[in-house]
Amino acid sequence: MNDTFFVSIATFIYFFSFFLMLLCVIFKKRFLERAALSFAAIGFTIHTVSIVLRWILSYQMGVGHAPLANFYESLVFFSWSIMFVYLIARNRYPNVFIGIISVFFAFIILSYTSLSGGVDSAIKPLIPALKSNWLISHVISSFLAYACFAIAFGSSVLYLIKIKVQPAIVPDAATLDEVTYRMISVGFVMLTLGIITGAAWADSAWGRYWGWDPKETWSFITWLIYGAFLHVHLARGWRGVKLSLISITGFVAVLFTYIGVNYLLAGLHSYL
Amino acid sequence: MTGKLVKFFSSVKLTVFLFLVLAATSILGTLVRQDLPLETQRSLYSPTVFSVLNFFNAFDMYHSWWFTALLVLLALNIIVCTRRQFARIGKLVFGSREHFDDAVFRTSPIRRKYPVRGDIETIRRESDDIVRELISAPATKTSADSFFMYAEKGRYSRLGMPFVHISVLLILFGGVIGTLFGFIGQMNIIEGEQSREVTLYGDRETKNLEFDVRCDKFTVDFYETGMPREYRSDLSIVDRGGETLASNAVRVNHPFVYEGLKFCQASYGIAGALNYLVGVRNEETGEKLNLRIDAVTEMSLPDGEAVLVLAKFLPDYKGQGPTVLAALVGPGEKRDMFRIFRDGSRFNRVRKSGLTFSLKDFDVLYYTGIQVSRDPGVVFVWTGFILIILGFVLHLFFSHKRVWVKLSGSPENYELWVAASADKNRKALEEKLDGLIAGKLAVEQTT
Ligand code: HEM
Repeated sequence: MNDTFFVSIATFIYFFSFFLMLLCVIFKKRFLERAALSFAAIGFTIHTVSIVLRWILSYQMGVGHAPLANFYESLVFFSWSIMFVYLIARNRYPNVFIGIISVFFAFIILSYTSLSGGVDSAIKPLIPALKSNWLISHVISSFLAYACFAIAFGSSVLYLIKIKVQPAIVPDAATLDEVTYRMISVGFVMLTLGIITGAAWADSAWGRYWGWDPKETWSFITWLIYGAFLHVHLARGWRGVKLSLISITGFVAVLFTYIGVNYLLAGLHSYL
Repeated sequence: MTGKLVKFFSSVKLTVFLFLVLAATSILGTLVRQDLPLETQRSLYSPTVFSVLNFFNAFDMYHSWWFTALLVLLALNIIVCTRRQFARIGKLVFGSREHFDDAVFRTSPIRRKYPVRGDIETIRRESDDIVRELISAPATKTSADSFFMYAEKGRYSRLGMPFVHISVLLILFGGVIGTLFGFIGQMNIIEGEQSREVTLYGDRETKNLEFDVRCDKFTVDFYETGMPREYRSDLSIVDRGGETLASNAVRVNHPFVYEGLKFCQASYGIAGALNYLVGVRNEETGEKLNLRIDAVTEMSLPDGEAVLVLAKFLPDYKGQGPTVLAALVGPGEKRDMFRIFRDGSRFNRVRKSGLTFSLKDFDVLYYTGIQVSRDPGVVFVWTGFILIILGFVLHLFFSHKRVWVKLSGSPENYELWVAASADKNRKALEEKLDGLIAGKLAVEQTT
């Protein structure tokens, strides 16, 4: 059986979970939230199975490698990371809105991979530059960081909606502010780790740990933006709208680092 | 004056400002190509734009004086901040582990006071249990009708942030050392040959190594799909006497390090070919003949006066495959260049002489592009990387918690004072403390 089949099933389940969460917000029924969470967990399990299966299939094809090596695989792993971070974070913040944000992103990303047609899902052998033990640690830390930033982006947007429109169903602004901050402080550490493992990898593949390649530079830019966020938060006590705007800017930089660089700028990181 | 300067450099405003300026200028550096020679850049822009960009070193921005100056400002900023931070936390981290100070019951973020009655020994034991469970075994001062307890945990977690900040300094320092005392460049070595000359990146100057590097063999390996699987250069280090000092294979992601010099597989190319087998056919007589030619040389044709000259090998001529540029030189004939294509290709030309030539076989002669670098700053960078992670772990996963308990008053109306503080997640500590007091302090509480 094909791994993409499992990805499609996970996509549907995430959508259903998202739908239940919306109902839960509208009708304020606890059992709906529990059901939505169960579906999210089932979807996540199937999503995990698809990744493991792809890993196994690549070995059966004789080109074995962790499925973290091209655009398709990175998108599947990105949405997986968002769900992973969400399922951990919800122990601390059992707030249905974090679920809505996460499941929504996971669903959108997976739908894009299957529907856009521009994302090749075939299992390919690894080119020499990608054959490195650093691949796994670098990709995992980078995408966990991106996942944290995606959730922070969602809560910042909700925060602005809450402040400007004041819908009654959106949770209180202080909770959203707190979620944004927590996600970014963890995401910042993961991003630092991602940059460090990337530097170590570049040192073995290209003989230098830092070379101001566009992808490297954009990860640095992203790092600076979130670094600014943490400093105005902790040391200057900024809260609220201004902080949300920095978080949103940071996520734009994340997207540019992840995707924009590859299409718009020339560099060594031409694979994703 | 120094006061003002210190204040300027200790401000987080400056940090945020520098972060944002570094980010903005770095964006610029990804819009303007940094990897092209100046002449190419000149052709990309109008003369005015070019001179403005060049004035601001925009074509090699990350090594420009002003970008360096921003990083230096950041370093000063970190130094001053960390000093100040140490002044604040030094006593907390390295001070005495017995902290009996009455003031905490008025100033701590978490404060409680309970009137209690009963036997002092029981109250002490119960308080001791609470503190143990909340934090750790307390240090206790006792007298006849009072006691004072103090306990703390995780004081070193306060070093997390200074570690992170100092690590950034170390990384910047390593970068400076690398730029000042290291070098990076490339050498192209043809299979079987050796060289000591490295062409440095950037200024294109050359640098001679202390020894020769010989490429014993270069191989490139493909998957069935045609994608490259592996590039491999077998290198030897050869001293001036011709003696081989070391040999190793270099593959992508598997550099070879010799005496602080790092050799990486960077590129490869076709330098030429060897062992040509050239087929010659006389179109009139139908006579066929194969010529073995070792390298690009002259070769007399056996049946006549003419000499075949192989002048240059081209790995691919306009998508028609490999060719050899050749000339046939006969007595009194003027040189006429032509191309010899692969066997079976219809481009093989019949010459005036009535002969057709074809390239039947040859061995490709590769050159390997080896990147050579030396970076004495890299130890500082790695140390900084490890420390920054350590700092983050201390900062994220540990917190400095402290608790004080004091019993005062007379047996008729004792007062039990409790104070606590935590540098992170204070609410959790507060809830746990209240829970423990409610559950364990069995002494009758008067309201
Ligand atoms: C590239 C350099 C820097 C990095 C990576 C960095 C990183 C960090 C991080 C991750 C935090 C913790 C934020 C949080 O958990 O919310 C922090 C806190 C802080 N940083 Fe920096 N920082 C840098 C430079 C500076 C500089 C130059 C200053 C000097 C003004 C500074 C001052 C502070 C202060 C005062 C805090 C709060 C510490 C506390 O309350 O414990 N940082 N920094």
